[in-house]
Amino acid sequence: MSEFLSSALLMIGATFALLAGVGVLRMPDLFTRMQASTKASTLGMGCIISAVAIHFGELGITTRALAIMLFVFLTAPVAAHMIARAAYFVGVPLWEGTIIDELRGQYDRRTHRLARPDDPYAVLPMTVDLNRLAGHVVIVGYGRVGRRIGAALTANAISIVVIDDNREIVEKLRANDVSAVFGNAAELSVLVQAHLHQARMLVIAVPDTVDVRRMVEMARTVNPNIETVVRTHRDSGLTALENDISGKVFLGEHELAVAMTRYVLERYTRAASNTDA
Amino acid sequence: MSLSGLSTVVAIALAMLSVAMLLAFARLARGPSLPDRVIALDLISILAAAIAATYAIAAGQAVFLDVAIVLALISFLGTVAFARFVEWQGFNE
Repeated sequence: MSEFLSSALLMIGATFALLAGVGVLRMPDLFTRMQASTKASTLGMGCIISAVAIHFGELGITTRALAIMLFVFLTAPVAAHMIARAAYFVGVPLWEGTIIDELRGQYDRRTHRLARPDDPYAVLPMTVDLNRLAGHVVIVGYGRVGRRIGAALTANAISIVVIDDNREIVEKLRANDVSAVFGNAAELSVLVQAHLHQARMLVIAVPDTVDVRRMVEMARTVNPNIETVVRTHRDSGLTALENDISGKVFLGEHELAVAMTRYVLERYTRAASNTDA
Repeated sequence: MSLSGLSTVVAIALAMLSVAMLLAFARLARGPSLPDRVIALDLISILAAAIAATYAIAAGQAVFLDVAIVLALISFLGTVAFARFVEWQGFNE
């Protein structure tokens, strides 16, 4: 029985070690190579050492085996973390298929310390209910348009997260128990804070279209399938914008004209039918 | 399982560990950055420790386990030293 067990552990350990070797050679960048080598080598080593302990079955040897295992399990993560950290600082390139580097810009280049965001409004508070951060609608800009959309969605029991570059608006929203993030929605970290990767829709309600393409581009890297609704003021390039972002674009004046026309026509026909009668 | 069965398993395991070591050596030679070489070297010393431990079964000598202890210790210290070196010297590749 113990023979069988130690044989099995030996084979499992050797398999993991082999996988570590393959991973180190085949993975595309340093960090993916590390995750192959460290996990597999630690587990592989653990299995092989256990196999040795079971094979000999003596107290002294088992103690030594346990000591090695404990040592490897304690030191391997530390060593891996240190080398990954050092590699990140010196700018070892990430794989070109990397989507998000959440650490970018978070380290102080000089002191090599994590720079904590000084601004509590730039991150969502930990107390926000996680159920509200899935299938929600992210609204960028809480001005005259965004406010109305937000109020309507909230009235329909749809949870929203607001991104705004005005701190007072974010402060006020939080006081009213609305999840809000302070920052520029064209920045990846801000979109990640708003949990865009779990959101169902993105509504860009800011009037200026300068950053819109970049916002949508960034949003797509976080959440490739997100449905996007954009507000604009400019007539020119409307269809181009709609094609670029592959979402719905609303032209402010156009929508206003549509609504006013509808009202005028309705009033006119009613007035006409009144005079007819 | 018979003893010859175990020795077969040990031989297979040693072969797999050797292949893993060759692959790690290929990464060591290829680089391209210094940290890549450091993790390849780290993996090589862990594999050497694993081979020593496996060989302890093959030879029936538990003394080889001490080799594994020393290798694991050196591997850790070496990687930490390299990490400090890389972090403060930058990388020249």
